[in-house]
Amino acid sequence: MSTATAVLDGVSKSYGRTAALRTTDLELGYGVIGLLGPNGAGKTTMLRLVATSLPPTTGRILVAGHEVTASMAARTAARRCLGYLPQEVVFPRGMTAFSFLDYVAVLKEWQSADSRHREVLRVLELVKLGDRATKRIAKLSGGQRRRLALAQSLMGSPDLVVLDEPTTGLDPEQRASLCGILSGLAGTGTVLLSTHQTEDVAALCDRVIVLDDGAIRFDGTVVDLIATARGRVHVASLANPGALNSWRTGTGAVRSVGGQPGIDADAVEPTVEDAYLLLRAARQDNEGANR
Amino acid sequence: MSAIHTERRQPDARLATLARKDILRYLRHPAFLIGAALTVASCLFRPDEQFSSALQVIAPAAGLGLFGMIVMASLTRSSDAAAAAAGTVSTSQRTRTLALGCALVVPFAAGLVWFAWAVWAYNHWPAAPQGAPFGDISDTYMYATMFDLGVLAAVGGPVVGLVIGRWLPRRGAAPIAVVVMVLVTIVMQGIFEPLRYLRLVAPWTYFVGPFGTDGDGDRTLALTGSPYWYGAYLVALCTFGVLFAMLRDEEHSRHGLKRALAVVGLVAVVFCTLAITGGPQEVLVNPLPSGR
Repeated sequence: MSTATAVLDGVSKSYGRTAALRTTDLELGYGVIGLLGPNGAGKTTMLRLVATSLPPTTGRILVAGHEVTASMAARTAARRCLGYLPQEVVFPRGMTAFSFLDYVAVLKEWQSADSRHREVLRVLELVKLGDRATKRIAKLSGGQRRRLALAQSLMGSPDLVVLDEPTTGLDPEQRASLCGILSGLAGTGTVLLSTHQTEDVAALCDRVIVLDDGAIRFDGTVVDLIATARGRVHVASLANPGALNSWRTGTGAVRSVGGQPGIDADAVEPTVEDAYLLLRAARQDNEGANR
Repeated sequence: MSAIHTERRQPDARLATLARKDILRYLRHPAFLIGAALTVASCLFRPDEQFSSALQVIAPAAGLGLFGMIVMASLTRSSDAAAAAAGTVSTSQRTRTLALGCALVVPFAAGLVWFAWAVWAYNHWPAAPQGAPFGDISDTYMYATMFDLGVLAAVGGPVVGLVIGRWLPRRGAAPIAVVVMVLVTIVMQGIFEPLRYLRLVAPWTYFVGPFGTDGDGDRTLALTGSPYWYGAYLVALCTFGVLFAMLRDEEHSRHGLKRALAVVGLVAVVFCTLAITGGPQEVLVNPLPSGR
């Protein structure tokens, strides 16, 4: 029996003639899974498909064993097992942080007022908004609103948490706190998050998926992704000729990603960002060669 | 994970919990509180001498009905916003619409309270013989018009708000609908002779009033139609409105709902026809001059 929390089987999504996600097979098991890719790569589409907020054009999707593409009942059952943080959240007007979460908790079928209120307070504390419970959402800062949106996705400790750019608008302290929360969830469930912050992926993710142009370009561990860039990142007094990216670091040396290393160049340990950039560049080269 | 999940798996109670929440939200909505306060304020004045409280139906119709359109459209939008902020929730849009429909109990109850006051005032300060009731127009007839134009209007407005919230969820849509509703209502009061029968298609229209005759501009008239069937027609319209709002949910199969809408729509047409063809078929004129 599969231990996957979510399965995409031959799933694709098109908007008219535009393919947002090409035919994809994917299994998501326990742990934190990072989704990397440029804008327009299909990350949000994939997250919305997994979160059942978008029907696929082809294929079937299973969440917590429920085939969400089969029936409304299965979709409802799946939604009871997942929490989702959309990329852009517009809050209802006039609500406080507590009343918003309380209302969402009712929509998530928490019936007993006592247990619901306990859960609302728990997630507010989790995202460090316990002292802002009675504040109107309009009075919260951007980062606090983002954490409030995150709080609703964590309600009920769902088996699958889908987060679309959760670290946007958070300061470093808040991001570190979020990493702590998510790594705690990963022990017994699945966290699928999209981000542009490669350092978050390096710090947090057990597995990384790189999406580009609606297709998966890499799927593996963070270590494996970094390994693809080993020997291709250097520091020297001058930039590598043909380097994909190079910049002068604080020590005065020039760090180059890709290109031909010079005589005085020393190979250094690459980062997730280096590997990601090289992966993207390789694909663009292939496209150029095919034209 | 999911340690607390077991506490929330009672689907039968799901609607009840959400409905209670929406009822509370309705009760606390500023537009409802203002509208209810205006309705209460209207009760503080002594009723009209010729028609007693029967002429005061405009107060709950405006205070609870028109304000209710704003309230319900706003609650529908905020319910949608909360669901959208959560991305996906296990409560469907159809259930959320139904829960908002349950919140109609608030304007209905408020309308009933007004109706109880109106009946008491009607008996405490009886109408003058120059007003209504007169001739074939009985007290029951007068109560029916008060119920239709007071209580059912208090519910009908929020139903329109629910439909607007579902199908035209734009800020400003409800206030525009209020203006349109007021204009339609003004036109459909039987002031224009050709609309005397057709006026009963409108969701709010007077049956008796000082509409006047040649030579006596305030003479009491009873217009054509049956307020009893008109009430049934309004109930059917409200039911149709709630079902039509529920139809917006595209995730569910809509065949059953479409059938129900067709049946309720047909029933509404039948009741409307009965309202037009029932009751007095000629305008009744109070034999006593208005004295104004």
